[in-house]
Amino acid sequence: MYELMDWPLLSLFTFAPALGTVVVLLIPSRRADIIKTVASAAAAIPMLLGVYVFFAYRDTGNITYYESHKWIDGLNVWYRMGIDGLSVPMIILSGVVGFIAVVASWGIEKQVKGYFALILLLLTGMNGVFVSLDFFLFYVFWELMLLPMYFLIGVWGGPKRVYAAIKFFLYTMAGSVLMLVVLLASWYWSDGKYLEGHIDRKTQEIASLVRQDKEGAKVDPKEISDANGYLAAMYQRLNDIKARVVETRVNAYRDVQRVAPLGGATAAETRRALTRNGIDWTPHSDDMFALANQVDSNLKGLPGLVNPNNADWLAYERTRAEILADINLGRTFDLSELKHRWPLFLGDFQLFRFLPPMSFSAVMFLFLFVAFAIKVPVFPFHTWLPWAHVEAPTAISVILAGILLKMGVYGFFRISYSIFPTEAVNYAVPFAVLGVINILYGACCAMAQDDMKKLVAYSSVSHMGFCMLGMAALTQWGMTGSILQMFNHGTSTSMMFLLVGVIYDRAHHRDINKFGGLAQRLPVYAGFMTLALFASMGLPGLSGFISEVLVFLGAFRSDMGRWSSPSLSFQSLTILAVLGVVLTAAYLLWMMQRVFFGPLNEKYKDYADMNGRELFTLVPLAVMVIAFGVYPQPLLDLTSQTVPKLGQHIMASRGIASAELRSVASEGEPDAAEGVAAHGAVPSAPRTGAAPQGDEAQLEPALAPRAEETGDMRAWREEEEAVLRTAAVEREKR
Amino acid sequence: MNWSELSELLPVGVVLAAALVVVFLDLVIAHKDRYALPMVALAGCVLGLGSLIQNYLSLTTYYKQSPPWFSGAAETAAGAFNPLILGGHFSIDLFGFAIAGVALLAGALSVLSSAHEEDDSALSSGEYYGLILLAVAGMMLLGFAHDFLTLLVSLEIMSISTYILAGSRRDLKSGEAALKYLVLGAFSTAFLMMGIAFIYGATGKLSLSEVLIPSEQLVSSAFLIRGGLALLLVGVLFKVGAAPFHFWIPDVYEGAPTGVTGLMATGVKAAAFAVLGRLAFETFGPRYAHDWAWLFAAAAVLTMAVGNFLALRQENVKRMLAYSGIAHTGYLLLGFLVSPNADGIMLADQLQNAVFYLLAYALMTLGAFGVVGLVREDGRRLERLEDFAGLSKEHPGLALCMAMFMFSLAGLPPFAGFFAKFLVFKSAVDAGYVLPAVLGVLTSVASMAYYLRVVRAMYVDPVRATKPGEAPAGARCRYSWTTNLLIYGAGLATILLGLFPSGPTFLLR
Amino acid sequence: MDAALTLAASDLVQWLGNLLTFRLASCLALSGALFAIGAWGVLARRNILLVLISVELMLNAVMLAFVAFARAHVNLAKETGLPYAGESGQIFALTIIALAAAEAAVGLAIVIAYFRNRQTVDTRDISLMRH
Repeated sequence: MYELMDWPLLSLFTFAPALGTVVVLLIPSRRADIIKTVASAAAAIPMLLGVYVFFAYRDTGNITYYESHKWIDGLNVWYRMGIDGLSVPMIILSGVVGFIAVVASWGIEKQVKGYFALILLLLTGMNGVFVSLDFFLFYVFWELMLLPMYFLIGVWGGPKRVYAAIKFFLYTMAGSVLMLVVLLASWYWSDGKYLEGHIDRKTQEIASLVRQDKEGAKVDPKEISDANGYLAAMYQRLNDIKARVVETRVNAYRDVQRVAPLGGATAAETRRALTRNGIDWTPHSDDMFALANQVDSNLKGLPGLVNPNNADWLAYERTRAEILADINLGRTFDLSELKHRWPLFLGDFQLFRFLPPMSFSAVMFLFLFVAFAIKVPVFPFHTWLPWAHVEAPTAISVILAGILLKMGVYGFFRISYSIFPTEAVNYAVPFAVLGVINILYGACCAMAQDDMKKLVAYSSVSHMGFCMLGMAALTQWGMTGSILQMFNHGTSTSMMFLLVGVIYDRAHHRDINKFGGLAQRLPVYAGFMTLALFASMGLPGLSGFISEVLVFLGAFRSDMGRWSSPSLSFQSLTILAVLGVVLTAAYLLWMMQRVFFGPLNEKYKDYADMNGRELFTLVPLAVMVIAFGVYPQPLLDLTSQTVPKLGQHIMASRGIASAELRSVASEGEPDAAEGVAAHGAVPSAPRTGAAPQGDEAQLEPALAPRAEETGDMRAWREEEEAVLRTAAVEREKR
Repeated sequence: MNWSELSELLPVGVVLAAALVVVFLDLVIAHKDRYALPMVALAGCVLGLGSLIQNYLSLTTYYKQSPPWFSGAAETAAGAFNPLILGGHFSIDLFGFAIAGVALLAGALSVLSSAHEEDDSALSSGEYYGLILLAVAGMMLLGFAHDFLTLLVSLEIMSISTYILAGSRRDLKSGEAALKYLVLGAFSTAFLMMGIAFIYGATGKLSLSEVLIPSEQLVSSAFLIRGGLALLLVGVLFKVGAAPFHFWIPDVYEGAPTGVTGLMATGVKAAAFAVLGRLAFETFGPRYAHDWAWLFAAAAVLTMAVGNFLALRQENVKRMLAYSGIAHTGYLLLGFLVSPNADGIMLADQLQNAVFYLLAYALMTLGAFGVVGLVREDGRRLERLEDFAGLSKEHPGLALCMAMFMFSLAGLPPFAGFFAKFLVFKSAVDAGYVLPAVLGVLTSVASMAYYLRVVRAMYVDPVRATKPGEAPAGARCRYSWTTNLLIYGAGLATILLGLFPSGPTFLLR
Repeated sequence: MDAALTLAASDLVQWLGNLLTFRLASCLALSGALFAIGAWGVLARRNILLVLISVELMLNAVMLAFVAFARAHVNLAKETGLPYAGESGQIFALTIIALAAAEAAVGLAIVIAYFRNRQTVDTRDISLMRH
């Protein structure tokens, strides 16, 4: 089993379809059958890998299958890939649904070569999005997926395909630009230079205040002490991050040390050796090697770093504070590194002179929100979706609904919530409100549709609302439910689109009112449709049920957010969202009744039931829908550690941010201010002094006590601590 | 003056010699193979490139370091690299190497895209290829020129050759393009010269890096210098085609033969940007950035806005590409904004980014013009958007490459254009010009609209029926293996540059 | 009478001498005027030949400016003993003559070729590509 782990598994997962594109392009276009076979084979590779990962993956909350190579020198862009509990359900879904979509397109007859080349390229883009851990790489895959999609809708779509394709393209493009802005801005801010400048300015302000005070001007001592507290907090932030860089560096050394007897010189070999022996390694060693080289040169002659068990370790600890002041953090696109640099993004910034200063993280979070909300799609940005779904060919609709929509929510989890955790808390209630609007609005729109495909499309809008609600709740159940809902919606809605495609192939229309009594002639078809519909409406025992219940439970127990009030609490929102289930049942059952029951429309009496290929595409999905409905535990296990970790990350940020505010408030005692003023040395003291003091509290911020913790979060934290403790004990044993 | 230093200009000499050979060969050979002359011209460009690389390598091994990015960045310590040769008339630095390389590339590719034009005798004559090579030689010299005199002479070598080239097809549009190009080019050159005269009068110097260094040799007030620099800038902005001096570009690009248009859009533009770059980085530098950079920034914003906005309304692909070229001039200008507190490393970085943009832009644009040049029916050139309908069915490879060029020009990853834009925006932000960079990002999104129209025409739009009742016919293309070589080569390079953008910079390090 | 005549003669000589003394400002004024007339001609003239002549006028203005500045630098070097910077201006002026000649030759050739095709030299007719 470990042998497979040595392979660049995720690169294979991502680029196997792209390789298929190249092969398909080399086959002469008249050999359509060979093209189709090759394309299916290329799409099967990610599916097999996805299935393998499903069985092999054990969630620890850490990144696994990590790959990293330097990509673009000057910009510090790396080719980083890795998966954790957030990505694993998505890559399983992407592998399976992608393969099924390719098989389902065997009926395509127009420009077969181009179609399969593009659909494989599309798969590469999507797979890449789910496994890349570098913001830049993420963006490249995100855009890569856009182009094939445009062509696939625009060339092989229905009658209004041009309009639909352009609309899809422009919406997504607008979102991408905002993401690009965030990409650049967070890259620029990630070196901490802004924060340093901010600290310097603040220091000078305080110095001038102190000077004025000494000269006898009336300065409110509270003002000085507030400013001092703020300054100390800022130093803390900066030094915490720098300390973590050093820490990671030391950890990387430890990794190497531990693995030295096992053999292994390069970082990749080290990683592999550690993984093989089941040792928990520090993920981003490669980048850290480069980043912390300065530290190394500063530490020449300090054997403590070379051998952490040595007695000289103490000497290292002592000089550390001095070293921290010299570290140049450098700009990075590494998502897991940016995740730890969120405090750098908290300051205000002034884009242009004529605009008031804005909170950097809030603006960036909103930009990202629009970028991802267009993909999800969240209510005001959803208008591209019905068009694209209806006009796209069946297989593309399957991919759109089954995978593409998930990229939005995945982006929220992977990027927005990780890099801007404080804003995740701040905007929890607006997110939940939008989620509920999605649920209800999507359901109402679906109810009004006569076109079967449009109905399914609006049902997607409605179902993605559940994901938004669960995600916004920020509770373990809510977030787990949200991820699970993505997966389950992916399977059930793919089934529905495939089934709509099946009937469209026979009747060449999708008007619900023109059908009737089909169950008499197409019993197998009706059975599958019933299964899909029931799964979609959340019937217990089928997959949709468990995720919706988790979302509701999680949301009901959440009390996040700034705008939360008795009338607009998560409780009331959850109650509204439950209404959505009723509406879902209503429109789905109504459709079923109109299509399958009642008098048989004589036009359709000699339709054949489903053929082998159609069954082949539907059976795996049906199996998944039933299996994960009856026994969802394997899916839940996939995220069991990652989601709490993300939750802790967000909660910790909330703790630190509010602790900082408290420190500003509580240190406002006159004596504290005088203390600083008496020393007269505001500028340099905290820079070297703050780091060691802050270490205990900051290195494991999750362990710091917090007042606003909910019962749910506390239980969750305790559980997590227990896990960490056992892990530590196990490590000691080794 | 050490005449042996002339060997540093050997690449230029190679190209000039090739120009003469082509012209004489045309007279000597009786039964011409259609591809004979282009191949000789191509060989000249390739040899020039080889000689350029050889020069670079020998300099690097001799000094045990690569040349500095520009002469101002050279360290003055003894034994260090001094790029100035021939008494300071030329500067053999990396910027010059890069510009000369782009010029040679543009020349080679436009030779490739002209080789199929055998139906028009003027375009297959020795003079045509000779003039292309002459223009390339002028561009290369312009890249190295470090003195107003050499700058002007190189500029005129390039411009006069290009005037003739623009008119080399025997039809009305071509003649009109040549005439307009000539009058406006000479007009702008006059401004450039007047500016140089003022600066010379004020300082007594002609060296690009020294004119603004204060000395006692000033005859008159700072008014002369400022006025001179302003006139000079007008001339240079004219040459690069920046707004508000852009109006000649669409007509000239549309009228000129397509191969020449490609050369003008890339090589001539790169050479003009060489002048602009030397002005921004050597003459003004960080020291005078405060006085001048805002002007560049304003011109950049205006150019991006005007180019993109006007391109939206074009129906003729060639004309649309001309306006898109104006827009790209705007983006390029962003790369030449110098921060008042920039150091040598940052300036070198910025120049590197700008050069990457020039290279990427040259590849995409020449490729796109190559496709436009091929699409024709019964000798009639098809340049309108609707003429491209059905290209994806008739010639899927060409259509694919064209789509790639369009997406790359629009700045979508993973193509070269994305990184090019990314890098110049980064330059601008690094230099402290955030607003122009943000506007650049926004206009670049808007540009997607018109690039997409081409893609839409090729892939999505229905094929037009030539006459009512007739079966619809897809776009017809001439076949020419040289142009195909150009198109597929440029397409491949566009992808490779996009995937491995640090490749070319690695070569230069 | 004699004295008066001598006075008048010497006045005349002095006046003539003053007139002939090199004055940078007047040279530049002339050059500027020529340049402006030329620029106006390029923009306003309808006959393409006149436009070309206007361009030549601009180039001549530049040449004059260069020669004038070169002379100013010669004088400056004489007065102050600073390094002599006059030669580059004169070389520049000579170069411009060559360039202007080349431009004129090419320009006229293009105009003739165009005239053969269109039978017109009016700039208002040169508008095939206005869209």
